[in-house]
Amino acid sequence: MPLNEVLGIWCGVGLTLFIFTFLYKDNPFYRFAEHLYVGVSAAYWMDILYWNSIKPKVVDAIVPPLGLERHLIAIIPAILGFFVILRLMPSLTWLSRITFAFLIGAGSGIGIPQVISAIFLPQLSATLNPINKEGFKLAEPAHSAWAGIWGWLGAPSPAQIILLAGVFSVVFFFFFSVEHKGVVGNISVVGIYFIMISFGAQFGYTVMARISLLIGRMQYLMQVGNSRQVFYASTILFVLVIVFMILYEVMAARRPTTPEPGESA
Amino acid sequence: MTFTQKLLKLDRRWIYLMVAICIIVPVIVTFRVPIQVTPETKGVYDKIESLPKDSTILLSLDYDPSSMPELYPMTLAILDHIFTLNRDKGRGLKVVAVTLWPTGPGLGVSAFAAMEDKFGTNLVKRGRDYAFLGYIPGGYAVVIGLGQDLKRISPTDYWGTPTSQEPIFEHLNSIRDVAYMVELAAGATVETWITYGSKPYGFPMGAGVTAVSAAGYYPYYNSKQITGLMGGLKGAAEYEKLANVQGNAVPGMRAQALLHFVLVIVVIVVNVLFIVERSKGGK
Repeated sequence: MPLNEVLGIWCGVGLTLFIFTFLYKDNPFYRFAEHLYVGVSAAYWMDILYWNSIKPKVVDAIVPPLGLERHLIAIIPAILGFFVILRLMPSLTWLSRITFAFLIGAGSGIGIPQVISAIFLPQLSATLNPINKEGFKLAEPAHSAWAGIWGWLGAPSPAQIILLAGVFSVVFFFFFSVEHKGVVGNISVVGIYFIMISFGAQFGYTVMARISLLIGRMQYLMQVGNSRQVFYASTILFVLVIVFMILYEVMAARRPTTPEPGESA
Repeated sequence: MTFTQKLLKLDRRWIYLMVAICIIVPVIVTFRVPIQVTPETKGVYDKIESLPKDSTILLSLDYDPSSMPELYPMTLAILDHIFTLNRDKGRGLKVVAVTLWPTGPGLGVSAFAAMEDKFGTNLVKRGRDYAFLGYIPGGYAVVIGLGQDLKRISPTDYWGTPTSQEPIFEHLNSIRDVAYMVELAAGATVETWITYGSKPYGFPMGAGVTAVSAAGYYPYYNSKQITGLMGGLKGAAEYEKLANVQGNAVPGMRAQALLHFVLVIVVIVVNVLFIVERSKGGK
C-alpha cells in the first residue's frame, strides 16, 4: 500500500478515536478534531466550488483559454453573484435584493408548474386510488386472502382505506379555520394518532440510520484500520488515546480550580 | 437510594459502552441474520434485470462521506449487479454516473475503481462501459440541462476527457436516452430528479436513500413514480442478498439486529422501572 494511503488511514483512525472520546467527556483531543474538521471542510468546499463552478462557468467563459469560445453572457450572473457578497457592506446591501428577486422569480417560474405536474397531481391521484380497483391492486399482494375476498367484493383494500382515512384526518387536524370541537375535533384526534404513528416510524428509521453510521466507523476501525498493511493503526492509536485520556484526567485533577467571577476563593 | 432508583440514574456512559460492545462483537463473531427482501428493494433489482440489451443506466450519487455507510454499499451492489449481468449474460449495460453534491466525486471514483479491480478493465472500461461526469454545480438546473443537451452541460467527464469523444455517449445525447435511473440520495434530490428529470423526460427511476429520509419516500413508491426504494443499510443488505454480492451491508445488519434487540429490551426495562418507581410515589 502506498505511504500516502497508510498515512491517510492513520489520520482517519486517529481522528475517529479523538471524536469518540467526547462520549466520555469533553477534552482537548475532541476539540482538536472538531476544529480541524470545520477548517478542512471550509477549505474543501471553497476549493471544489472554485474549480467546478467559478473557474469553468465564470472565469473561462469571460476570459476563455485557447480554443474555447467566449460567452460574455456569463457577466450577468457574475454581477448578480457579486451583489450577494455586497450584503457585507450595509450601504450596498440593497443591491443583493436584485439577485434574490431574480432567483425567487426564476425559481418559482420553473418550479411551480413542474412541482404541480410531477409531485402534487400524481400524489393526489395516488391518494384517491382506493376508490377504484387500480388502487386495490396496488395495496395488496396478489395471493393474499384479503385480496381474494375484497377483490371479489370489488371493494378497496383495508390498507388503502387506512391510507385515505389517514390523509383525510391529518388534513383536518391542520385545518384551523373551524374550531376543533364535535365531529371536527374527533376527526382531528384520529389525525393526531396518525401523525404519532408516522413520527414513530420516522424515529425508528432515524435510530437505524445513526446506528448504521456507527457500524460504518467500527468497520473502518476494525477492518481497514486494523490490518497488517497499515501496521495495526487502530490498536496502537486506541491504546495511545486511552493513555492520553488517563494523563489528561490526572492533570485535570491536580490543576487548581479557578474561582468563577464574583465567587470567593 | 433503592436499586430501582440507582438503575434509573445509571451513568449514560454505561449505555454507550453497551452500544459499543453490541457493535464490536458482530464484527469479530460471525453469525447469520435472516434478511427478508422487501418488494420495494426488489423493484429496483427487477427493473435492472429486465432492461433491454445495451441499455444505459444513469446513476446519481448525491451523497457525501457522512452517509457512506448506508449509501456506498448500495452503489457497489448496484454496479456489481450491472457488471455481473454484462459478464455472465452479455447484456452490454452501460452506466453513466453524475453527482449534484460537491463532496460526492471521491466516492464515485472509488466505486468505479473497485469495479475495475473486481471485473478487470476488459469488462469495465472507462468511456466504453461507464462514464463518470463528476460534480456538476447547479442543482435542478443541471437536471433540466442534462435533458436538453448532455454534452453541453458536461463537456468533459470527471477526468477531463471530452464526452463527445467517448464511445458511451455516441448514442446518448441527453438523459431522455437512458433506460433507467437510480438516484442514491442523502438529501432531497429524489424529488429534484422526479420533478425535473423522470417526469418531463419520461425515464423510469428507482431510489436508494438514507434511513432517516426513507419513510418520506414511500408515497412516491406507492404512486409508482419510482419503481423501487432502498432504505438505509437494510435496503443495501437486501440488494446485496438479491444480487449475491459480498459487501459491507449484510455484515452490518448483524450489528443492527443485535443492537436493536438490546435497545428494545433497555427501553422496556427502563419503562417498567419507571412505572414501578412512580407507583411507589417517587418522582
